[in-house]
Amino acid sequence: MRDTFRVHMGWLHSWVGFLAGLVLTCVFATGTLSVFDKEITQWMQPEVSLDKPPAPTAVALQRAAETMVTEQEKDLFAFITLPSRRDPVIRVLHYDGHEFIGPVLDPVDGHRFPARQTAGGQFFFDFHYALRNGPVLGCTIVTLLGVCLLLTVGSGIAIQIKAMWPDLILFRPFGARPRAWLDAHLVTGVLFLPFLIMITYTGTVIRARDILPPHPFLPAQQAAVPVPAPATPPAKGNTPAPTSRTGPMPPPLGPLISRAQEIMHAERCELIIFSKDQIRIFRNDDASLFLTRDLVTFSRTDGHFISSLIQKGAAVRTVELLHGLHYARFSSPLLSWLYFLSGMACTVLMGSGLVLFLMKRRKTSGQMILFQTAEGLTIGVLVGLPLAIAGLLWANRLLPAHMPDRMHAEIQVFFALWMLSALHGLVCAFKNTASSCWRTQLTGLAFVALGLPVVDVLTHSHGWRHDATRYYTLDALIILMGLVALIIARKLHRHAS
Amino acid sequence: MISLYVFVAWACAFWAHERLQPRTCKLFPLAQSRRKAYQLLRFCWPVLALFLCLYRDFEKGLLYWFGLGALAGLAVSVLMAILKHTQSRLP
Repeated sequence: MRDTFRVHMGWLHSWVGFLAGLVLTCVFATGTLSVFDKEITQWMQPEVSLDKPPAPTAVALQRAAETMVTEQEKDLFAFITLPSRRDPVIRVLHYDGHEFIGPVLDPVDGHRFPARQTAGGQFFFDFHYALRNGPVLGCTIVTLLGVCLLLTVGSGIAIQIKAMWPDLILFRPFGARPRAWLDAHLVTGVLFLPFLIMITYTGTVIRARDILPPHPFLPAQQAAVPVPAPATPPAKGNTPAPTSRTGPMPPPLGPLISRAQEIMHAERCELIIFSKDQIRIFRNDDASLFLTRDLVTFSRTDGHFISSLIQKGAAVRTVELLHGLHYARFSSPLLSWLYFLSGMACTVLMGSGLVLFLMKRRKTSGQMILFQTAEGLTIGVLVGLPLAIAGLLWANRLLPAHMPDRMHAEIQVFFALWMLSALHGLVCAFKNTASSCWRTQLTGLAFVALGLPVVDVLTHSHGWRHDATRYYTLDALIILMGLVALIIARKLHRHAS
Repeated sequence: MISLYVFVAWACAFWAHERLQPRTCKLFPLAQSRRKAYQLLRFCWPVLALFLCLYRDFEKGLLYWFGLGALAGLAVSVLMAILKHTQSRLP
């Protein structure tokens, strides 16, 4: 009975894990990068100086308000993000259907940095959250995949439960290849299980509404639901309605921010949203585990206090905790790195799962077209995605800084590289030359990744002595990725010869 | 600094855990008295690490505890694999 149960769970784990895992690996990889979305944006905009104190001056706030009005005159839903520890500049952003983009201002004198147009780290966030398919289709797919992942994790635990305790840290990289891959799968799966369950559960729960019908179930319920006023900040994924947003020039923002901090007992504020007649100032929550949406509303005409919304109920706090745990907007660098490394480990867990699935079936089904398709797609996911990410960063440095429609050109480079990798993988898999394809693409990945710091140096886009931590960190990570690709490619080459 | 202590505490616990497994005892034999000590340490170190994490930051302590624990486990598993590989190659 128990063995039958384990066999069924094994089947479920393999098939749901593989089919969902092809996309989930990409979702996890981009989600992991999103932990440092602000830092990646800063790397991709080297014109922006980050050595300013994170406290905006009155002049800078005035310039930000003027920029916001200019943006609103273009019928954009522009809002202001205030300087924070992670991003010490003022940004006047709007949502373009995928990313939050817009001008970047100096927090001291308010001048506009001549920053290159780029999607930045927001690109990875959008891919992670909606697969660049918009808030309806994309979010629904990702949420359904989250359910599949929970199912896969549950079945994986059922299979491994007996050996989990004694084999807690068992890893035999020097053993036979399937053994080494299985150990890598198990050791990352077991050690990072709390993180995996937490991040999948919170990610699925906060978007659970997406897998239910988008409208109220009953007509009566629909009639009872009032049309919500735009009192909340634009949730990522909700495109604002195209109504005219231009209002009067707002009063000085400095005193309003101080007043809002006083009312909310907040150390800092983060976000200022403007409607035609109101200004809403939101508290900063990067020091807390809870993603709050506490806000104070002022009149846009004369700046008088209108209302405040400070939520304290148990249900609201629970939702804030779930959001906070998943969005990981902590200012603590250690915690951000722990999230990043745990995310990387979970990506390795899924990648090793895909490889194991193919290894187990290569002898029996290696000539089947479905197997070959699966192998081609796996190459596209495991090698193509990092190749496309490195390609995006190359494009960021090589495309002219003031090229028109630059952001889309960067994104096109990303998808073109990824598509080429997947196509190459599929063609080679159908021609039964998949092993040489793995080697070729891994060598290509190593070249692209190891070449990025060289490109970064040669393009002279920034200095290396001042304010350079952001460049060293990302370049070091890319070099590490290149070295890993090179080592695997060499091992595969040795194995083949 | 506290994070480093937590990492080391977790690493010691994982080390003790692996040293107690029969497959490791074959390569690195363990005296009975040390076995008892390792069993005790395997339990005590994570508890100590938890106290340290909660002392550092009560709100986010569990996140630090799990995160540093997983990384320590990974580090010890790689270290143990290298040690076992080296030991098995000795004449």
